[in-house]
Amino acid sequence: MDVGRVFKDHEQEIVGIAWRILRSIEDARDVAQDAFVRLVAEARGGVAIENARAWLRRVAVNLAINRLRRRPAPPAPAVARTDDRRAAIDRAVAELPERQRVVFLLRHEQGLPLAEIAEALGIAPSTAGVHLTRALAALRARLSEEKP
Amino acid sequence: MNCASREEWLGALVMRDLPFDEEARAEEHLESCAECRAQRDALARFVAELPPPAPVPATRSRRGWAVVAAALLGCVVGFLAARAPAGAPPGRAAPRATATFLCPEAVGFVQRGLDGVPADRRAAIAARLR
Repeated sequence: MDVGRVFKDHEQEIVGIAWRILRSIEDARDVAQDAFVRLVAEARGGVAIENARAWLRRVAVNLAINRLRRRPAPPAPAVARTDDRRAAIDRAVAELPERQRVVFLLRHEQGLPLAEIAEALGIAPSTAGVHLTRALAALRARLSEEKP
Repeated sequence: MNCASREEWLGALVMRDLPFDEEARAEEHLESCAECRAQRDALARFVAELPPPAPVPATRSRRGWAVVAAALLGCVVGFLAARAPAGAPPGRAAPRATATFLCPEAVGFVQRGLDGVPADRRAAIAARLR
């Protein structure tokens, strides 16, 4: 495996995936770094990784979720949002159960296909679909409550 | 596709993420099911009104990476080479390979990160590279 090529091709995506979950660019870079270090270790250990991109996504998602669970406080908004609608969505997303939140963020914000999200989370595509539907329904209900 | 399994496919349908054949079956079901159709319409309106995703904050520029990596590459190569004990069996000489098969950006990425993490964690990461 050409790890250098894998790094060049996927660094931005892996940082992006971690950032969607963590909303901290420093934490996202740490997660991406850990994922690439693990990839190097696996490759050097002789482990055959057929799909490095999928492997990196899965590791990055799990590392990001683990890091999120260790945080004492809910994730802070990523950027200063001047738009009320965006701020309301950020708040509502932060209140979603973990799996729903991750599936929604990776699908809507990162643009990953549901099948790839399911693979990264190690769940069935149909289960990922349930999380997505429930996330959308919960967000819609939550945001409709906030409308004046 | 049916009402009982609606949660499995409705979100994917409104986010245009169902395979073509499954989307066709979902649409077929919706033609005959007013309840599912109403839920589809409500979620589809909600999705259409979602603002575009926030951009990922910029990381260091590629040029910046290249400059940092170029500055660090020699140190990393020397560091890794120095760690391979003289007369070591082939497996112990492997650290040299890290510097040769990682691209400069990757070496800089790892090295920069090692500089910024606590000592105990740095040791754990370094152990992975040995």
